[in-house]
Amino acid sequence: MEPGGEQRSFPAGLARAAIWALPPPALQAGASALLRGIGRRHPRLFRDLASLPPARILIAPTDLPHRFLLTLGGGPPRLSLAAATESFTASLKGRFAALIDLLEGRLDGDTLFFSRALTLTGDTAAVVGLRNTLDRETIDLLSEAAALFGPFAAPARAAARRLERLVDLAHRRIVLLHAALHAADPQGRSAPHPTPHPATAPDLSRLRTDLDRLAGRLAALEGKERRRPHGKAA
Amino acid sequence: MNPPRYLELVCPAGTPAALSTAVDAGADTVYCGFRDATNARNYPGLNFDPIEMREGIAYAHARGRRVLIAVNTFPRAGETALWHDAVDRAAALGADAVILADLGVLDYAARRHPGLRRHLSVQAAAANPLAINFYHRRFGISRVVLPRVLAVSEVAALVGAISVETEVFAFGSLGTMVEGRCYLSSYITGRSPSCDGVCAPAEHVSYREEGDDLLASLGDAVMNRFAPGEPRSYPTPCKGRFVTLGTPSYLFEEPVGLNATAILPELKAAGVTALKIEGRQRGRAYVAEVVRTFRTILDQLADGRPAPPVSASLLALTEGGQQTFGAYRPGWR
Amino acid sequence: MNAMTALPPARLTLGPLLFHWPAAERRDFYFRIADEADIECVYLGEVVCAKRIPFFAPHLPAVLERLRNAGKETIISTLALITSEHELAEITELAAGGLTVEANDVTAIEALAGRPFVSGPLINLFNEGTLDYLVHQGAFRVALPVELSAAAIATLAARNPTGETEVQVFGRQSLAISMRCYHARAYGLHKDACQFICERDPDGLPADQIDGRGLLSVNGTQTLSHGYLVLLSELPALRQAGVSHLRLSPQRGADGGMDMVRIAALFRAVASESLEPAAAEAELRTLIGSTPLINGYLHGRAGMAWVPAGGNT
Repeated sequence: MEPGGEQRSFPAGLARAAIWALPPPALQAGASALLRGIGRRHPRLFRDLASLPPARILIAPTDLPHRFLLTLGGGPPRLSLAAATESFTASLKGRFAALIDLLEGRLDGDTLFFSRALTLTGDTAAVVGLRNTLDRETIDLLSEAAALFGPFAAPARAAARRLERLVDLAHRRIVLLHAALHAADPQGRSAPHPTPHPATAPDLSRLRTDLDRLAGRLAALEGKERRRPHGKAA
Repeated sequence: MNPPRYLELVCPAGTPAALSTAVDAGADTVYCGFRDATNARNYPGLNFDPIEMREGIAYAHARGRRVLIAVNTFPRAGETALWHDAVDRAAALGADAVILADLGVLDYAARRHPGLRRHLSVQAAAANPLAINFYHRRFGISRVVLPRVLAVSEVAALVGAISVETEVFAFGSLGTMVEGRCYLSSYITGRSPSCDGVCAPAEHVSYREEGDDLLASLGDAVMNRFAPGEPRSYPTPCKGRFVTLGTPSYLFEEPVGLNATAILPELKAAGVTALKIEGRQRGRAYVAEVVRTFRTILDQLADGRPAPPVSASLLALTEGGQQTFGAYRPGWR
Repeated sequence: MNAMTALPPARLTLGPLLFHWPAAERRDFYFRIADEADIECVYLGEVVCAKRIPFFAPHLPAVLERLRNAGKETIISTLALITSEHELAEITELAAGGLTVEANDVTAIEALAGRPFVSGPLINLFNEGTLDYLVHQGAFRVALPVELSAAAIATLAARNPTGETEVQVFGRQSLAISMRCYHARAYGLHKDACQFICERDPDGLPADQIDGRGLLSVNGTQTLSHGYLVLLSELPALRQAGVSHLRLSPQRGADGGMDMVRIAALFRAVASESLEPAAAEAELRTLIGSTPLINGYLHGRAGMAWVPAGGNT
């Protein structure tokens, strides 16, 4: 049994960018390889997945051009790219990051229904069974994805973490700055307003400069991230 | 076993990963069930096979914590062997107690395994001294899990009138009907919470969009209609929206979750032994957050410091994002 | 059929009145049952809400006497949920009196301290172990929970050494009990100042689905089915399985005109094979009106389902 305390963070933003960039055959191979890898490292989990009743679950990230089909029942689970006309018994739609949260156990079964982050149609029991089964063991998706790089797994993982951290940090700082700006200047930039409080006036202009600079850096970072040949090794 | 600080913290584990998560996050005690109808959270993909149970108990015991096994449903006629097996297995695996509800199963456990501690499940709904003494005198129960129908003052009076430990719910989903005696779900789906261990089973749940609204159904019955932006809830019958006197409303209960963090000193003063966190169906993330928060609060209270204000992260985990003291405060009835 | 005719016909019982009828009306109802109804046993007593008890208490002695003089067995049913001191006192007082009691909670069994009792339908008696235990504790009759299937009923009835096994065959099914008063809640009142608003709905307050279809009915702290349970074509099989008592749960119907004396006569006629179930069902439907009939639990289905005679069992 593994300790379940630590929650590792999978770089969902980065992975999303990589999936955008990959051609479908590479993505198909990558998805299969990822599932096979999880199967090797979590044999009991795979046995549990294999014993679930048959289902074809369409996984549709709303912020990606691709959809996936998870086939359960009658042997090990299979993950493939879904054709536009693919038939399915249940579907799960949501942003890529929310789907990863579900896979890694950060979203629980009830939250699945309470929140609007995910939309579930069709065979509800199949999705609940899948969610509960995935929750039986801790899957570190980052390690699984990095393992696809073979001997380069460790550097790939480190690079991915570093890059994701930068992107994430930049995003977070922008949000904070926006909040600070809003607090200091509730009317917004364009709205005519009385002279700001003397204590906040210099802060305000510095905040605006910071915000613009950060937004520029983030755009550059995200461009770089999209150009990286992440996942090609599959 | 480590002695609990302030109040014993009894935490849910629907999976082996949730068990280790709960132990790591500071649970004094974890409760779980086998992968069949013998426990009241018989949902697909949940619960423990005997090997996982053995490993889970070893993991908890190595860290000075306890494991309770819930065998708290009611066997159907002709199927009692499975429940007896579950009790036998719990005893053989070294569980610290079994949580039971059925009179026949209690009788079996008391006669066959007198050395195995017996807790009375909330499914037995024993809410007064006479009922609790009935189970104590006849089956030697050591602890009663109180139904979620009593005010704190009533809990205190009850504790004074009985000679067994009490465990009360402190967090999680709040059933409004008396537990173990509610047939609403089987009336609609045919599967019984009492006997099959599953309320509002997922295979009977469906969601359908109608215009901008979302319709949630259980079997053939519409349980709710959510306008855009409205908090959603799982279509459990007692959390549904029904029309009475021409007006749709949450007739039984709004989609809220119980959160007793603010009244823990009152529960302690009432003489309660243990706090129960509901949610074996909710997974590792929930378990980690709720157990960690309760551990922090209990440690602070044990050190004589005031409890911190209720955390926003805990609120986010309650049903519908809203919380209640439930029956603990007058007015709920 | 031949085996069945060897058995004496099942006895009819009138279950406790679950609703809050005005006391005088309630008294007159029982007087009429005493004088006119072909029923062997009448359960009295308040099952749902202790606050209703004082209203009928003054009439209880006269009602008991009239029923007994008419040769009917009388049994007092207890509250389904007991939490307050006041409710506890009610139970201990009842247990100390000389009346036969139907226990709807283990509290009453504890209070009775070994005296014979009827195990009521709100006790979770689902299996052989529980049956054995309750009989050992003094249950001379077991009224089974509404959720049981025909197969479970047969298993339990065959095993019951007292030979007295009771099953509800008519009326709304009790589905849940709570501390909370939904009746008061629906009318915007509080339980402690409820103004006995449940008296307004003597057959239950409909709690419909959002789309208008009926589903449940509310009676104070109790939730009942919207549909009326009707077991008529099932009676021969129940009798053969060893069911000795058939319970009719008092209802007034949506318009208040339902006649329990007539309903008892229909069930008696079918139980004694002097009337075809289909003919009795047709007349029942005219008495019941538009409210749906249900029998799903007995057939191992959702309780709200209706399995027609000759249908899938």
